[in-house]
Amino acid sequence: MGEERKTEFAEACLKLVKEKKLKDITVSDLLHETGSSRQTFYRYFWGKEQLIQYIYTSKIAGPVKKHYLDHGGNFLSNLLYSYIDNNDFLTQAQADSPYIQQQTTMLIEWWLALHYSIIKGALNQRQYEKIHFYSLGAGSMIMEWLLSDSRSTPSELANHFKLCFPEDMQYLLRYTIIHI
Amino acid sequence: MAVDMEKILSDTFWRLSCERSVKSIKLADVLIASGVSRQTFYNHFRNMRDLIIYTIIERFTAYPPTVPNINEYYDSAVFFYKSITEHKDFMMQVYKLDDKGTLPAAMTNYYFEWFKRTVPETYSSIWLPELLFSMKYDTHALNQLNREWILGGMKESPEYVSGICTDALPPLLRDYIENPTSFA
Repeated sequence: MGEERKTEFAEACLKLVKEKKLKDITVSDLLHETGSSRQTFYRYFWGKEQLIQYIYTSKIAGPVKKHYLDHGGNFLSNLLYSYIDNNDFLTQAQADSPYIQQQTTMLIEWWLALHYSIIKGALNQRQYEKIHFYSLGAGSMIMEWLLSDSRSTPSELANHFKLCFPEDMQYLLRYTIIHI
Repeated sequence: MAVDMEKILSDTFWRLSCERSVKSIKLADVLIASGVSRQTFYNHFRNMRDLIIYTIIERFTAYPPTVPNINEYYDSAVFFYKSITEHKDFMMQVYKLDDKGTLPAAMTNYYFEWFKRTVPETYSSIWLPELLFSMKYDTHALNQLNREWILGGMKESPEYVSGICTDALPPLLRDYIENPTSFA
């Protein structure tokens, strides 16, 4: 039940972001769009920032992660395509706080660590730091890419990224099939 | 001899930052202390943030005209991180004030432009886009790592952080640094 209400607010926000700027969308707008009371909104979110975080996790990062765990495929490309679909929301949310970039970094770190740990067991500190370094670079570049006017396609960018990973990681990404 | 107005303003800002917190230094303070007019300031910088970025680049970065070899790369990283730790308070204040992340973005651009200038004209045009992408990627990662390290209180030693940066160089960039003319 709670999840349904949260989804309603998330969808209302994503709809409104097509009409006006994210920073101009007020809680009142969301209440008007969903026909809910203020009390209902605050039962689930402490503010608009938390709704933004919820949208990112449940509508963007969550589905990409789930799809990868269920079906495998090209994680980076799928993530980037999903970012393109939610471009307006993501770039505007990023302008107000570094949350989106941080989460993007964490998501890529999760993906890389998953591959590493399946093949090589628990990560040691050095491996973790290396993975973190690559994730930081990717997270930061994806944000720049989203804001750019003449951007390459998601598949092109994903391929470029892979060439930047160390050779052992490239090998793992090519040959590891994830089944969990 | 032409007056280097940017350096005068940057030196004034630096001097003031040694006496008080960065947050408390207003544009008016810099203008009074340097004797420079507001109009002249705006001829060189858009705002205080630009002046801070200029000061960091001027004080903490000195890149050679050609790409260093891999050992020099590590050494210059150690030198860079050591000079930052010597001004820990200043750097932490500046990065804390930068809530929108413009500082890493500006440093990324600066570092990338330098990297790009080191590429010889004879470098293979087939590999050039990939090399430039690797450079961009590396500079993004590096500046985000610096930000985390500085805001985290610089707990790891300069040698340790430099080790991570050198270790984690993208393969094509590593090849390039080890032998810049290999793809000519």
